[in-house]
Amino acid sequence: MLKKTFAALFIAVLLPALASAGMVNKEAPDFTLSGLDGKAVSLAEFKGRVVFLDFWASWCPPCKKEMPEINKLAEKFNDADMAVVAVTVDKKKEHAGSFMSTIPGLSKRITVLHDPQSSVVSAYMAQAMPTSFIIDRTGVIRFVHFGYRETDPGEWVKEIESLLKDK
Amino acid sequence: MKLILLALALCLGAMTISGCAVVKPWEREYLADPIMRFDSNKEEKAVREHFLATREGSVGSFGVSGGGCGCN
Repeated sequence: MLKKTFAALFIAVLLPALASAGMVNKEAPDFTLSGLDGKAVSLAEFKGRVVFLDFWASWCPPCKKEMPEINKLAEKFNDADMAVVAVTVDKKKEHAGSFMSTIPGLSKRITVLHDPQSSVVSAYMAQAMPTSFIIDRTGVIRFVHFGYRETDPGEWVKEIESLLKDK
Repeated sequence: MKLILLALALCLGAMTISGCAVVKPWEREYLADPIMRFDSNKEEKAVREHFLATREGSVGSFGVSGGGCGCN
C-alpha cells in the first residue's frame, strides 16, 4: 500500500516536468504575435529554417543572463538557415524593450515577440523561465532546454548544427 | 460525534486545498518584483534591524547592539 502511495506521488510530481519534455518530436504549435514594433509575426513564416524559440521575461534573472548568449547565437548562423525568435511574457512590452536596449550590439536577427496573455507559452507548456525550443526545418520540435546553464550555448550550437545538416 | 469530526476534517481539507495555487513559471512577474522581498531596501532593513536590536536589547541576532538608546 505504502509503495503504491509513493509511486502515485512520484508520478504526480514527475508528470508536469514530463509534459513539455513530451513536446519533443511533435509539431511546434503555430502562433501569431506582435513584435515590440507592433508588427505581427507568425511562426509559420520561418518554415524551412531551423528556429531557436525562446520564452523569456525581463523580470527573470536567468533570462537576462541568457539573452547576450542568444544574441551571439543569432549572429553565428546564416539568416537563411536559422532564425531566433524570443517571445517575452512581460505584461508590459516597454519592460522587454528597455531590457533589450541594454544588450550591447543587439542583433537585428532576433525577432522579439510579445505574449502578454501567456497564451503561446502555455501552449508550449514551458516548465521554467527561460525555456527554449529548437525547431527543425519542417516545424518539428527537436530539442528543449529548461532554464539556463552556462553550458547551454555550446549545446545549442551543436544541436542547431546537427539540424542544419538535414536539408 | 464522528460525523462532526469528519465534517471538520473535510472543512479543514477544503480550506487547505483552496489555499494552494500552482503558479506557472511565466506567471511570476509580480512575485519576482523587488517589492515582494522582505529586504528589498537595504537601508530600510539596516535601520529596522538596528532599531529592533537596541530596543530588544539582544546582542548577536543582527550584529552589535548599542546601549539601548538606538542612537549609535
